Amino acid sequence: MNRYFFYLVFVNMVANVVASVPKILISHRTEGAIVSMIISFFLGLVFCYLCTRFFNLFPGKGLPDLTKKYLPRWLSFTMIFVTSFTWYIAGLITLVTFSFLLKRFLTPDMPLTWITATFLAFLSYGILMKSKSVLFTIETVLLFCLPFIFVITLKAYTAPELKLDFIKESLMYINHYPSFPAVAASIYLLLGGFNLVIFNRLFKREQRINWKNMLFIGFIGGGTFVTTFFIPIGMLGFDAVEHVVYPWITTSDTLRLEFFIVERVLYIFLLLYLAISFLSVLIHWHVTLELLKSILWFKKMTLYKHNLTPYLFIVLFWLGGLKSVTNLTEYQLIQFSSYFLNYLLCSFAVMFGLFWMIKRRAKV
Amino acid sequence: MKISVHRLGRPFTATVLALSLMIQSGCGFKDIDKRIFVLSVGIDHTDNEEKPYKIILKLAVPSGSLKQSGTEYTYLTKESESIASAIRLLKTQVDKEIDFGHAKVIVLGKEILHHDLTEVLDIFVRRRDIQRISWVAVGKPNAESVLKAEPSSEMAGSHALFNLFDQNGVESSYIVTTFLFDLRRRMLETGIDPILPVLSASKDKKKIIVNSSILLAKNKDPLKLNPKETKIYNLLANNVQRTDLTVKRDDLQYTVSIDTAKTSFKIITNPKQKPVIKMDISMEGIIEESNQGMNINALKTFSKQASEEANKDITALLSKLQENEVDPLGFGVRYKATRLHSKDTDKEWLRLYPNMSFDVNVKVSIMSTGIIE
Repeated sequence: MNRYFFYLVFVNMVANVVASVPKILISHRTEGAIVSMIISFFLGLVFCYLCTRFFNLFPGKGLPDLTKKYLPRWLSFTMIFVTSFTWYIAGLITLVTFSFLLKRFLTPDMPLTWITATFLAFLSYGILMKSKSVLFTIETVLLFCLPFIFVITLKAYTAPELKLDFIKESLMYINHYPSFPAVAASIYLLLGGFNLVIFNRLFKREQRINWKNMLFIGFIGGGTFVTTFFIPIGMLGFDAVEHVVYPWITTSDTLRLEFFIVERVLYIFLLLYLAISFLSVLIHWHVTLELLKSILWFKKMTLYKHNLTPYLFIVLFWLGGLKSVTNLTEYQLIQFSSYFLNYLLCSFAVMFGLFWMIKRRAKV
Repeated sequence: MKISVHRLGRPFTATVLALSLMIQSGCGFKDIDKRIFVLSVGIDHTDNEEKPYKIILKLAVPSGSLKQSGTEYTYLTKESESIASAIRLLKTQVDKEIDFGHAKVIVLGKEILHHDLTEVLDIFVRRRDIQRISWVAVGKPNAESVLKAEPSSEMAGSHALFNLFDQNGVESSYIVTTFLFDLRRRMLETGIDPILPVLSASKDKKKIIVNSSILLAKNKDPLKLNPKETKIYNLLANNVQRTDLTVKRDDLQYTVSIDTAKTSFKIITNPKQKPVIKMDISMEGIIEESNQGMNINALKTFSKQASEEANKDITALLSKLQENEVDPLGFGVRYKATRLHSKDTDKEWLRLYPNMSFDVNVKVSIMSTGIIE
């Protein structure tokens, strides 16, 4: 597979921290989080594989191009609209969570709307770029971030304060039935491949995902699962982790880089996640915009030969972002994230139905 | 020459963007010369029931040049009904913004330990600007005297309290270090109890001694560990690699300097036998001091003597912990971590711990008698 495909997958894995995934998993730690994680690990890999295989059949075609060609118009419109909405919410959750984090830790004196507006200003520029430029941005930013992610993860695993007994204690809850919210939350890590709905347009050459690719994704994904769930428990304590609002942010504050420029890993971590969540929102909203563009295009809205439709969508993105950032509380955000992740898992069942229909009609 | 409006678009946008920078009013950011940094925070208990907390802040006074000013600190104290309100009131005593970003030591007065500690420490774990990697200690006779002590060896820009706990300065097997996040997890977790180092300030405020520690079991009075017990605790908790052992046999007395030490333990519960905590401690070291000439052929005997000596001390400490039902080493967590969870696990452990017997195995290997025999 193309290396850009892996970037899409990895961004979701790394960005799970700003999508409340650790919080949801940890709140289910006595109610079958581990079994849920194992289930969603395999389920996620299957999803990733099926989705990629489907798009491999149609090189250079995004989902909107396929629905237009093979499905009735009303169905195509509804499906693409719902999909774009899903992707929009996915980006929105990351945006709002990270704005809250910035407000809480980095710039407490800055009004929340300003923080979000600054974020949105850069994002607007990013999502209006060509899909190809978006992929290049992802590659550059991710390559800059990976060393830091690696160092912080290594630091976490080698910290003397990491108490293995707490981690083992959480393993002793393996005899509990899995819970749906936990499965839904953890599967988010492996859903990055679905961004192919738009980015497949760029993968024009014929290619096939093979078992080596899947093994690679599974290996990294498994590592991410373990790190996301067990490190906060090991550092913060099995019972004590429950009342922490952002488990990973607090965990990063328990690490020390004694001889680095900044001793508190928290700040490095936040800056790192500034980049990662930017990427995550960028991908999701770029997909949203492209999907919307494919179904809604106002031919008459032009100014100096520029069509203004994308800008209209951007205005809507801004309104949605600013509105939710000012109206949500932290508690509601986690609650809604959980609902959204539940919905996401169900919606992919529908998505596969769609794939199957397209495949049957296209006869490939 | 006629320029079309269309072509002016880009320069116009660029100009507007550039000009918009001028209306940026800043975002409430305060410059470093408008801030004053808190180095350590002390909390004491007052006898006044309405205002039970006394807050002491040690602040670093910013100075232009290190050479001229030397070390300069200033202190703020306030009594109040809550810590947050005290800090708000303290803000009115200085002309700068009080910044907690560098507060790395929290000293709790000895008296406040009888209070509910979760209540006292709540603000520190809740506030974003307090580091979770700050050290917590107990101040004797009170937090104020510890903070106000200025050891003669203290230099400008290097706070003595930081050096005590940071492993860069002094390294000693008598010092217990407890990070704030570690304290919190020990307080909330069942099966492991908090331990805090005790800082005692001398009367002339020229010295701070840290060699003992305090155990805070849940719902029990604090239990003091003397320097020797603190040293053994550090050994058992794998906190230190370097420690020492003094062995006394008849006239012979010698001290072994240990440079590698490792402890591991297991909890063995058989239905038919008495539950046992099996502890293995291995140490390696050389002889550092002796009041007689040491025979190099007898190193094995010395090792054996040292092992027996250490065994006695360790068993004594473990029994003391057990009698008082405190568990700083996390036996309870280990128990829960090795048995599949059921809803009685916690209760089972509470029932088991007082009846546990200890099987301590110490293996000291003395490798050399030093430079002379």
